[in-house]
Amino acid sequence: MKKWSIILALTAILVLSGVLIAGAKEKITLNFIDWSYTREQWIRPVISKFEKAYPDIKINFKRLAFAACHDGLQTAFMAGKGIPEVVTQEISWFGRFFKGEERPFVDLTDLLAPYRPKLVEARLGPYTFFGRVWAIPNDVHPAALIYRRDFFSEAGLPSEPAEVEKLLANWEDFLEVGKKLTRPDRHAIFIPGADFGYLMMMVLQQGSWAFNEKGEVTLDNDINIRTLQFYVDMLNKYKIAAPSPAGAAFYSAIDEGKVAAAMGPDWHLGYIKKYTPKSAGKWGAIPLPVWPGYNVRTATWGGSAFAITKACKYPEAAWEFMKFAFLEKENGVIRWLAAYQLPPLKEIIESPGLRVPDPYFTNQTFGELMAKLALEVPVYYMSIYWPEAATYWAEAVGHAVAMKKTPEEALKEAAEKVRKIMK
Amino acid sequence: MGKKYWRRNLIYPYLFILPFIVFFMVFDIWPIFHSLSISFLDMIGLGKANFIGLGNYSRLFSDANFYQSLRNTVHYVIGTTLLQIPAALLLALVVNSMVLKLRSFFRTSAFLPVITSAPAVSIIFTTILDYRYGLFNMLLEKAGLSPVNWLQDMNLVMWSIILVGVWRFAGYNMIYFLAGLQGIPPELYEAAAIDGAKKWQLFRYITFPCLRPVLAFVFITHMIGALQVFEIPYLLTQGGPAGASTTINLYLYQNAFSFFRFGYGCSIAYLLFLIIFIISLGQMKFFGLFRREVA
Amino acid sequence: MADKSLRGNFSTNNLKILMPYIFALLLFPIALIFLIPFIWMVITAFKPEAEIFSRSFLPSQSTGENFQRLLEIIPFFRCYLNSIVVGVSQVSLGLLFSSLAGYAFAKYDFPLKSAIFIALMATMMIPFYVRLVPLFILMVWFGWVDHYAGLIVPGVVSVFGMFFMRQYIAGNVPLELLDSGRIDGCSEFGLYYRLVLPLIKPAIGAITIFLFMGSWNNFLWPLIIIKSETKFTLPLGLANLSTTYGLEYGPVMAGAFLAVVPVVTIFLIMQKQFVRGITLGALKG
Repeated sequence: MKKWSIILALTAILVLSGVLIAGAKEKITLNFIDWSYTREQWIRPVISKFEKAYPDIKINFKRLAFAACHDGLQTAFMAGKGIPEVVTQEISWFGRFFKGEERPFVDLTDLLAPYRPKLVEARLGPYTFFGRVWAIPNDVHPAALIYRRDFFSEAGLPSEPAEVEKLLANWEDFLEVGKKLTRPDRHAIFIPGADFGYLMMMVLQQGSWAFNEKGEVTLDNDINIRTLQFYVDMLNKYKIAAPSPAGAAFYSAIDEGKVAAAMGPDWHLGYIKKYTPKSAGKWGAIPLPVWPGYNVRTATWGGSAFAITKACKYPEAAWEFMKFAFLEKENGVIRWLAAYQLPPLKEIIESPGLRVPDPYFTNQTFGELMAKLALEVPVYYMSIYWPEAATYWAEAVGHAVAMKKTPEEALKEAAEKVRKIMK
Repeated sequence: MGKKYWRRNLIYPYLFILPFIVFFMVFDIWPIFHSLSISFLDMIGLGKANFIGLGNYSRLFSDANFYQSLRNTVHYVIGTTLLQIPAALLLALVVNSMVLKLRSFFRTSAFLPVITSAPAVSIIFTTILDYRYGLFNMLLEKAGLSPVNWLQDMNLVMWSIILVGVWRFAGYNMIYFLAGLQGIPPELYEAAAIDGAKKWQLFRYITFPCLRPVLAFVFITHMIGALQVFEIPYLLTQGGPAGASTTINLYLYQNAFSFFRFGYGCSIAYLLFLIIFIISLGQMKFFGLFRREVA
Repeated sequence: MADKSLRGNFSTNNLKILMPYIFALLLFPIALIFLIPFIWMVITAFKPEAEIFSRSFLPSQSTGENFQRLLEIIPFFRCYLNSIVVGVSQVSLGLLFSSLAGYAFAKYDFPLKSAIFIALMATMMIPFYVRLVPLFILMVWFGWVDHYAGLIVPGVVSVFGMFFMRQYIAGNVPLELLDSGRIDGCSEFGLYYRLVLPLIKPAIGAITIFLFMGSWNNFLWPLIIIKSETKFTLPLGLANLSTTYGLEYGPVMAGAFLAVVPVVTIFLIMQKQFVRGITLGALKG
């Protein structure tokens, strides 16, 4: 039975040492959390530069899982412990923190004021609550359509971007061309079967979204219903689209030529580029087709921003870092080349450094296209109920695609659920 | 004599159960009651909370997503119970008749799925069940059949989750059944064989009754576990598509820790608790666990 | 005539000897069902990244890059250590408290004993998620969020463990033994320590595995409570090996493989105790 006392003692020691190690650190550092591997790539050199310029500030960058940066942050706020100083927040999840009476972040409106003319104003909308701006946007994320030049040629269609742009001027054209591109072993495009991301881009082009600028739910307005119907028809009626495979299979399928086109914001296209090496050099890029009555050739989806938490004991230091890393021009082009993320700084968007031929797109200057589109990105307004709305919107798409409900029923149901929560 | 009696019957027993009871009160009893009181509040995060009486419950009654998660969970519980427990029992019966070394091999291989970490399990099954590249569909195609959308078809996804659950825990329960079988005195079988009993009679009149306590244990722990299924839906399908694989626990987590609706989350939990409590009491009576023990 | 019957006996005997092996052969596919995913996991752990999602079963070359990446992204061995610390703590404390309490319920008579016991039993059926939110709030109040204490302490009490101990002790520790111990001047606690504990080793084996499994696999609670990488338990650490499009297959497999080996070893060692524990405990129950 001595075994027991030994085991107990060991346990106590292990536990105690764990506790002690955990509590030991006490430095003047700014903890900066993020989840994005690609962001880590460009931010680490920037942090080194910053630390050289400001030797008394240390930035402790940690890449955590997405949930840890978001749900975990809320837990930290509630516990009052372990709150990082600088955080990256995804556009959809930022609003949650404004549900209560407290504002856990530092109000950046005045600090940003001198920089505002340099920024793409449309990108501040999603991070504006109660008339104040709470985060520096990381990106613009303009959306474009990319297509396989070889598949277009095979189908007897033009393949140069300038011509394809005219060919696919609007979504009706896309439908017609899509029919020519579709074969038994290939579709025109993948679109998510149970998520709203692509649908969101399509309705943003028409000035609609889940909420309007007054914060009212617009999930079930006419534009949304009509567009969802078109979306469902692409999949089920005309069969020019197939439901996107999940996870890694999405990229494998694209690499194997199962679709002739893809659409999405720069980050999405960046991932496609990264994970489809076999098809490199075969793609071209054009703006999105437009909708009848609207002239908007691009949209946006996703995004993140950087904020300073109220728990930060050195907000001035944090702001110095934020300015250096996110508002200075010199790091901008690197961000584009590293991660296909266009910062919301006009001087970068207009910089010639982006006009680099991209071999993946058969030496088209992809960056130039993106820069053009970045200035046309439509604005939209976040709501603190967006996470719930997002869940219900995704479900509505799923039900509509699976033909369990009509688009109108599905969207009305989703809208009602959100309205109920907002009461 | 008197003093010893008091010490024995009053101080020491209470002393012995004290650590257990203290922890139990703090971490089991208090939360159960606190949960009830929170369910009457409109509590978002740890900020201000207003008393809204049965407000959460009335919202719950008209919440289609709640019913969906309830359906999914019941589906999972029934599916895994009907598939897994008989399978585990069958396996145990067969493995029991094997040579000792082989038994150990089977027992260890059955144990592997249980100790494989949930993220690994979800990846393993992603690659098995993927529509285009998964093992199952590859085999189906070779057999000339059309591929099945295991994970993205709303009607099928819960079955896929059940499949993973059965794979993961059938072996674990087999081990318990095996142990139970090994505890049955062989004399019983010999005596019955002499009396000319057939195989199925042996099972029905000796094996099954002797296994009853183990069966009760396996059944109850399985049910408790199945009602709380969380990891695989969370990791494999994220409750999708369109909530088709969202279970109660996942729905609760979403409401409480993604949306921070603590009040609503507690009401979900509490409603279920009431339902399960009533059913469990019935179960325990059925397995006769309230029978008094003679020490 | 005699020849024929001899030969008949010979073949039946042969058959009897071979039966278990024939069974094994037939059942091998079933063991494979358990093993194949595991084998696949091991193979993938050594596959280079590009090949993981391809259709080839075996890698063209085995590589340690997944293990490297595993260690780069998360402090894997720290996660391992954390899981072990948490597991050992919960098991040892859990065993201590439940065996003490189980012993008291089994071998003592005291006022309110039945009432308390039935109350405890009744709570066994309550799913954990009923307590989830209030437990979390409790952790915030105690300051135990993102802390080992918050990870370990709430999981220490296992009503089932206590129940099992009680059943086992009731059936396997004779009252006479305890009485004679008392006559010999043994203290009450000494009875527990010196007489009861040695007798309940199989139950300890069984409950150890039961509690350890619960602790090792626990995902939801650490997910909610722990935010720092250095305190991640194994499931949490592996779940954090994600890129934007999902978990990184290679490193997760590498990590899971590393995680499984010692646990299986422990299982192999404790198997015998475990089996005896279930047998003697459950059957007497």
